[in-house]
Amino acid sequence: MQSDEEDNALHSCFDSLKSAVMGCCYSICHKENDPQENIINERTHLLEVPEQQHEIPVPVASASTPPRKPDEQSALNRILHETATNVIDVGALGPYALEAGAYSERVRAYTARVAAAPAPPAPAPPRLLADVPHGERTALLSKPALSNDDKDFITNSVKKAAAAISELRVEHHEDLVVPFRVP
Amino acid sequence: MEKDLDRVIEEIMSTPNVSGCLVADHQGLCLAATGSAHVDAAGVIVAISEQACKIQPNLKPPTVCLETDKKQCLIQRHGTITGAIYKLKV
Repeated sequence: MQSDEEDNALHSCFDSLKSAVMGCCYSICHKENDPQENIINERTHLLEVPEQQHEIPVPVASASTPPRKPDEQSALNRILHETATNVIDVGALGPYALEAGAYSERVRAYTARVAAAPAPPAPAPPRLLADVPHGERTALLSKPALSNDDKDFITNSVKKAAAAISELRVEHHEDLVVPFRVP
Repeated sequence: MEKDLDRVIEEIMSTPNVSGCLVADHQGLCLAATGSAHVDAAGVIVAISEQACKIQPNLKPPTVCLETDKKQCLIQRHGTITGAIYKLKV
């Protein structure tokens, strides 16, 4: 039984090694076969992420074989770490909530500050046409309107004045053109 | 030349309780001012009558009455001429 188990473990180890070696060979061959791989173009990977990901699923291979690019790995880790420290995850912060005690305390503090502040200046009184009190206004508005006599008087007066103005004529008294001593 | 206008003004001033009279054209030029009516008020009076005509376009012409405790100022427009009569309150 033990020999069978050891055989099975060996087989699985060999299988994983074989797959890792095949993967490496494939990647190497693929690199060699592709002449454009070394040329930096728009398809070139900046961080070699696909190769890293290819190695991760095979832990036996990574444990048995040393990492191929430790510098890249450490640089990537460093970049990830720096990004993680610089990013503020707002969504993870959760809603900003105050406890009831802190809330009432702040209300008290703000109310005290507002009460201590100087009172705002009184609004300036209207300079022209100040409104009269309600009672006086009602009394004024309930008074009779302009009497008909006054209305007729102003109407007739303005009509007469307009007629008089329309009759305005320049009266001729003397010659406007004065003859000079022209020979 | 303006005898007719002078006669009309005299007639208005002879009315009881009338203390002043002013006549102005549509541009606010004072054509006649007697009694307590001052020449400088012509522009304001014409402006008031214009605004009254805008507020009440159906009334032809609207009469504006400015009142104080003792005096009354009646303003009315006829064509291009605006007249104002200052009266003492009875």
